[in-house]
Amino acid sequence: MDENIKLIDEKIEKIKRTAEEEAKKDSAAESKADVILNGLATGAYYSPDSSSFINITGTSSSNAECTFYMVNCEYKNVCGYTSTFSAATAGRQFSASFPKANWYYYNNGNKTEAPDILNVKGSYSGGKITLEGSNITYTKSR
Amino acid sequence: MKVTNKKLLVCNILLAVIVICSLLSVHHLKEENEYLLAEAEGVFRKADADEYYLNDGLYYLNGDTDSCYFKVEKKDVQNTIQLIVEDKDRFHELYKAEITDVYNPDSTKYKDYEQWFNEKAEYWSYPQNYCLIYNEILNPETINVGYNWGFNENMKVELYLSCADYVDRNTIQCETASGEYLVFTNISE
Repeated sequence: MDENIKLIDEKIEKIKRTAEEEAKKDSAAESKADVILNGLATGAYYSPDSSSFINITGTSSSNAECTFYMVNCEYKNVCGYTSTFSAATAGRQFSASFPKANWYYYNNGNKTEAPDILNVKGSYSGGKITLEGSNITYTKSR
Repeated sequence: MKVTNKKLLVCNILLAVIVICSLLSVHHLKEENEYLLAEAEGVFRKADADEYYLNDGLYYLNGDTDSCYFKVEKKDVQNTIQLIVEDKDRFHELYKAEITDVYNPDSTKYKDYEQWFNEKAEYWSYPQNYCLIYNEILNPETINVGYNWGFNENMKVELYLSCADYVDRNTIQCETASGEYLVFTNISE
């Protein structure tokens, strides 16, 4: 496997584990309060079948990070992360820009390195995220 | 007789409606790309095409004609961009920038030059239609050279790839993993 894809997988695996631990704490009512970035709460947002998620971390807009795990948009099952992420209060929209070294997708079942910088946008409201280009609504883990 | 006339009138109206709808559809499809991008509001917004555009020509890395280059060209009504990947010797600087490890910009990731070059050649084997796009949320000051855009059900741009940022009508630049910029200049001007 390509070295870069391996690095992305490692990074996402860490984020996945942290999100799962946070979800356990949530269910045990031990979780600290979410950080709210312009109305968007940090944390993991899962697809209805929990097969994919969008994770938002950070303590302010300046250090926010966004991770995609198996997210479908124009590209199939996108996995990647970026710190070029911002949520806007107006219209409750967000945008993320994934540098090409930070994401990959599945092409005919194979992990395929990103061709270029991926720019996506979505909207959020009431613990839900909808990514444009995807018919799936991602819901916060609690 | 009256009934027949009425039927004829209804048929004519229906026919006229169908013809008008068809003409409108054709017109709409014809201008689809430009129209849709112009309509893109909010997060992804098309830059004013009268003010912001790239001149046709060859955009060389650092203006060096021995280095790699993008070919920018208007084909029919489409603006196209293509990284010309022919001569292996031209790509060393781009290779070095692209295989820099984002975790550690002082080192490089493992990737064979040959493999990297072949992937590049395959990907850029044909020109891409491009459009200059603002990302209003992330960086309203920067204009991306966007391509491979997708539209949502409301016909707004929902996603795109970008290969560079617009600097002026004869210059584009690509940010490297280490945060530096590779500048490509149109030397045809």
